[in-house]
Amino acid sequence: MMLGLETRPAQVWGSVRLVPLVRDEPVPYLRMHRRLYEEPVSVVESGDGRAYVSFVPHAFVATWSDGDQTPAASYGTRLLERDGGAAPPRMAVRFTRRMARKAGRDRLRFLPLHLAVEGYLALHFGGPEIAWEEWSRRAVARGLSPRCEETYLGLHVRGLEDALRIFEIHPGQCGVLVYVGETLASAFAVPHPDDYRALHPTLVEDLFGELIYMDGLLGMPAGDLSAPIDDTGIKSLDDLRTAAELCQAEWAGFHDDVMAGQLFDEDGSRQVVQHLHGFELARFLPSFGLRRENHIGETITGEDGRIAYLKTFRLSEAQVRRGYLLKRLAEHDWRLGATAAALGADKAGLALRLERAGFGYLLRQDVLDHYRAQARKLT
Amino acid sequence: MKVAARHAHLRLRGEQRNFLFAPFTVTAFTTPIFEQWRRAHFAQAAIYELPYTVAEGFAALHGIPRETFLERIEPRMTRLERLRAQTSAAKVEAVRADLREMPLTRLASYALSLTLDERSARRAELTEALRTAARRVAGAARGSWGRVAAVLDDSYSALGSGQKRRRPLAVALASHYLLEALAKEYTPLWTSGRTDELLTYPSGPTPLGARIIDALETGPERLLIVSDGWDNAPPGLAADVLRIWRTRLDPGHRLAPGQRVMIVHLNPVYDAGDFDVRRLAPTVPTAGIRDAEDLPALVELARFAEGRVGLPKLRAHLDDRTARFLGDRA
Repeated sequence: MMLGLETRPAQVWGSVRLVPLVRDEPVPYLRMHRRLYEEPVSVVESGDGRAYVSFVPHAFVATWSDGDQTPAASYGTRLLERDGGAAPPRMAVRFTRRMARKAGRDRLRFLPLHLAVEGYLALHFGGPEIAWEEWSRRAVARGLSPRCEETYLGLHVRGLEDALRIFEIHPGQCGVLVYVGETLASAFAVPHPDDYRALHPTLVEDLFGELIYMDGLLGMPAGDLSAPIDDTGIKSLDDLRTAAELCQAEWAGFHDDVMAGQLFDEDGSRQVVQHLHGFELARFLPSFGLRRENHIGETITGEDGRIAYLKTFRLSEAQVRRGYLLKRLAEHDWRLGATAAALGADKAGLALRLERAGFGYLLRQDVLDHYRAQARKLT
Repeated sequence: MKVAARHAHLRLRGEQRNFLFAPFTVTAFTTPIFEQWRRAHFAQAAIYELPYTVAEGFAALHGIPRETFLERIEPRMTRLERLRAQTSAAKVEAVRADLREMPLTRLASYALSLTLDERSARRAELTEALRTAARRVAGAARGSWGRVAAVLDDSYSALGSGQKRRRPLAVALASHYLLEALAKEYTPLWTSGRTDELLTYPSGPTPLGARIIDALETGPERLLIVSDGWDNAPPGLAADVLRIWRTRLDPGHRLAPGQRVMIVHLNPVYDAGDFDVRRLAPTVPTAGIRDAEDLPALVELARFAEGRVGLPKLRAHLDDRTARFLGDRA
């Protein structure tokens, strides 16, 4: 499925299925930023003079010791020169009891819920940055907004916490795919097994969409996907061993083609954000096709095309609709008239549609009121 | 105790009543232990006549330094109390226990509680103690089991519960030493693939299926699997392997059950979900195991369940175990 990452047998707990991804060898020259470890690790100098590049995952909260001592969340994954340079762009996080449960002394793994996803969408579209700032200040001050039901903490997804706790991490494991009720919720991969071990417990603080939450709530147990070995042709222990290996290869193939086949959308778009010493940070968007799997995410790829870092988020239906609108708007330079024409509607219809999709705040109040009045007059 | 007595309206006999409900109205108890307990409130010397766990509280009350206390209470300590105090009382020479006298599974638990560095530094002492304890448990049956292979689970789930840390792993480790004593030829196979049993720690997945194939390749007479039964790399492979072995590959599978390779699954983890231990395969008997010391009895029961031995032999074996158990306590 992904170059350099091998699929291993899934571990199931209730309705949660965790599929480990294992690397033969870690991706060289890329490690997580050392400040993100509870106890900073020492990175072994490579003899050939190449410097390590470090990265900071999106929505990772830490105390950046450059001036202000308050915890802040990174806003968008960044590649940094090794442990040096300025701290990445970030947002202040004000802890309120409702918003944040600390994972360590000063770290947790999510932004105030909806902000991270809205942030994702905004990052992807380079959207109205000013509106975003505006919105975030309001939301941070007041805690959860009325729209917080759209994303859920991993803690709230029933069974996920237990599943992660009892999960047996494979040697060399660098990633995991999380399925809840057979729905692919999230894919996550890092360059080095140690990074994975450090981040594994924080997956429970990750964000999951409404769909995933509902699947967890319904608690339909994940099915047994292991096919029994056909014993008719087995004459010796060697045959049995070969059959077992074949079974494992079949599982990996089935998983990669069928279960995770829609993770990367061929019709989606990909935007390169940053280059550093041969590593490329990109954000990808799905095609926002309705009634199908849509994943947004970030990848860091090495020079050889291997995926070093991957983080995806499964969009809910409502988010797909919003993404679709934003995408069409972006295509037409955010002009209402042109977009409406492309969608086969008038400006008033599009404005009201934007409002229904939860983007009312993007429009000026007086403009929106005008269209509302127009719609009332017509009916 | 007090609450229970009150709740059940117990009529307590003799001094028990005063001891529980009004201990300080009495100037002197006639029951010696009650009297020692009363005096321990006032006299430091009196606490050394009490059992260790009770005295420990009084020592704190009187502010007696830990080392002095341990040195003087040492004769009152039981075997297991001594083992528990090994690390905290490292400086007190008197409390230093002879590890070889300790029960096998407790000793394995103790060994696993040490850090890896400590374990390798004390390797000779620990191995010697574990082997001695195992030989004691094996008794007359030493070396009578023939070729034995064991699949031992040291996956991450062997961490067990927070209350009894690493208990499943301790049972596996103790079983390892016990089987070493019981078998003539012995092949241990840890699920993680590690070979140094003393430096084992819970980590990684549970590839039971592959390990069972490895074990069967050694051509054992008896195969023991000590695992919690959560076979996950890949799930269900162990059951498949055992099924196919039983129906197709076992050299004696067409003959009487007594001729087949004997396979027993011992599970140290009680599954609260279905009030039983988790089974691996329907063709293989599974038994819950609490202490590795029970292993010979459980294997004998499994042999009986499979129809290898008749009732008289099983009776004789159990009588022998009972006698030894009673002898141990006496």
